[in-house]
Amino acid sequence: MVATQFDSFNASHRFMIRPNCSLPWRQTVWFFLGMVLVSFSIAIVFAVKGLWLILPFAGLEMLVFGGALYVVARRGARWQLLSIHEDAVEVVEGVSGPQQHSRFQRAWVRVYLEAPEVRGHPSRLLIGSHGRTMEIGEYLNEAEKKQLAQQLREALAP
Amino acid sequence: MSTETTHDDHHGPARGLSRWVFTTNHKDIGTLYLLFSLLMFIVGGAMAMVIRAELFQPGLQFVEPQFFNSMTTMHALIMIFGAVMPGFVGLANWLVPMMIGAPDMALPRMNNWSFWILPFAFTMLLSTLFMDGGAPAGGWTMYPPLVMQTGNAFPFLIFSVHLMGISSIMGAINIVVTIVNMRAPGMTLMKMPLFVWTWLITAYLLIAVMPVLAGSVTMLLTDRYFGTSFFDAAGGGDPVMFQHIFWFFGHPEVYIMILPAFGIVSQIIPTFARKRLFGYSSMVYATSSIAFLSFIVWAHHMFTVGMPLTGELFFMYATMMIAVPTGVKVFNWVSTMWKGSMTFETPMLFAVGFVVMFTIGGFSGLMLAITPVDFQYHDTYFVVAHFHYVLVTGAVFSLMAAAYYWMPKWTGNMYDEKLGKLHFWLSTIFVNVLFFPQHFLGLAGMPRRIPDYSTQFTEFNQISSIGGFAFGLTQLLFVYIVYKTIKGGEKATDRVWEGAEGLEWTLSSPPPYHSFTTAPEVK
Repeated sequence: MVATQFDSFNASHRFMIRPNCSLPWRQTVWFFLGMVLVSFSIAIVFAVKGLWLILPFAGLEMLVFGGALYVVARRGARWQLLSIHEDAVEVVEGVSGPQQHSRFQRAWVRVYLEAPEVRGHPSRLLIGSHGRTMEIGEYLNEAEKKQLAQQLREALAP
Repeated sequence: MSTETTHDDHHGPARGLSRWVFTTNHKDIGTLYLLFSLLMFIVGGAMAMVIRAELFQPGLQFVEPQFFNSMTTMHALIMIFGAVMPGFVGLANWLVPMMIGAPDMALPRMNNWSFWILPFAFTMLLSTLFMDGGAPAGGWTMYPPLVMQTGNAFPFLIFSVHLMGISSIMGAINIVVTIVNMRAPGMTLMKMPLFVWTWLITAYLLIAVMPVLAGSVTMLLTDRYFGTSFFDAAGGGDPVMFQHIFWFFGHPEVYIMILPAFGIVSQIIPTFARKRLFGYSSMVYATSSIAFLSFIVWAHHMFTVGMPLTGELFFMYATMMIAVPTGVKVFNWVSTMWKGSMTFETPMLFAVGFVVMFTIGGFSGLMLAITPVDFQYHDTYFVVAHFHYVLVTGAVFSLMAAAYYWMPKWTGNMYDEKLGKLHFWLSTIFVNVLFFPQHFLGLAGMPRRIPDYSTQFTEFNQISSIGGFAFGLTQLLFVYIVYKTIKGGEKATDRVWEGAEGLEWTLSSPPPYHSFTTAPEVK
């Protein structure tokens, strides 16, 4: 998903790029808590009946389940913020908070949509200058990549 | 200007054995599950042949009673945990990512692990055939105190069940996480194919009940080796409590083995009726209702164990209620076919066979749900006939239907339609020759799990055994058809079937090694 913004005051374009994640974090938490409630209710009822050995297995399972949901949700929380300023192109990326910062000279920046080497694989949207390139929006679908490439070229045009 | 770019090396499958051992690709792992399921189907089927050979005549012909009991126990464990469940998990691995427009399963490494646990679990289980005291012979339900008489095989039984459980849980977690997080944009829950819905609910059931199985078998282990008395009456424990917790797991397990079958049939019938599925939403709600009811009917497996009258009544009525959502499903399948432009290719034959014969199993289930009637039928061949109609003509027939339906997509080759139809008709005729007479045996009072019987049961047993051998041989034809399709044949188109709908049919046949590396558009 790409959200675009033009800041007329600073004369800069901004592109916020995020992967598709069909369940937002808040709903993931509720979904997990619902599962915990069911699993532990069953285990606790049996524990009260004296069959307490079900409880540790339920706990272990919920630990793995929660871990799995967290890992996938974190993967879905990646983002890239691409800002085109008067003299520079800035890319900030991270998971939740910003982690990496790249800067290119605007006049030299080029945008490539690299065709895949193998049929059926995704193309790669690259920006770079002076021998340094980086991939933008690897998780976007083909149509979004093409559209973003076009928008970037238009925004970079003098 | 140079473009220094790095390319990942996941452009295609690795070569040789390492492709299969280290694969994290959902299609490879799906193939492994399906082939493993087929292998276990043959192993479990061979055990069924031993059972039917011994029961061909009254008296003891071929095997000792202890070995006979081992065969019934191992046949059940292998067919349930080795054939049917991995078969459905294999289908989920192949199809769920393709159906929801995801590139792969959410946790590919865990996916690899959950498959590769299975060969070790079943090697361990099968190795008990060669141990002192023989393989487990107390029934797949492992009721104490009988199961405590198992020889050296006992801890191996428990650990293999644990491994199967771990594999199932990891598979289920992966499927849930994939479905909730990796749907393509626009693929809302109520747009998901029915197969995905039924698997989501199945996985939910698995996650809910597997700790109960793990805990119960662990308590058997501690009772035997660590001096606890969870189920030992001599130490203040309660063996009946084991039955309660076993069936608290066991009854949802029954639905774990049939809900994905409902999903498969709901995909196939609209394709060959060339109509949209009738009552999609009601199918989703019916599946959810069945899943909910599966938690509150467990004691219908133990009406004869001794329960308060109110308990008997509650479990009787709750069990009967399952007929309502199941009836909704059967009604919807029939309504989908009503006035459709029907053709009867092999997948459709198996799907229609499923609807008819699963319903027979459902009706005998309703009979067993009636408590006073169950007092008569309990532990007779009527029960054996009932659950084989549900599991063979239900679950196994749906797996066959799925294999024929999606095999052209998986392999890129069409299967031999003539052989497929021959496989269906031989299977359908002989499965009924095999199991239908068992209703009469049960009604006449023949108990299950016995190697010898009174002479008045001879004729129906002989008919059943002949049906069994013929059904078993017919499945070798299926193995040949699968082999022939993998090796070659007429090339399949991308859509394969004229009436097929869904994202998986938008991919090439066979699909690329990585499907939907970019999210597709969902209409």
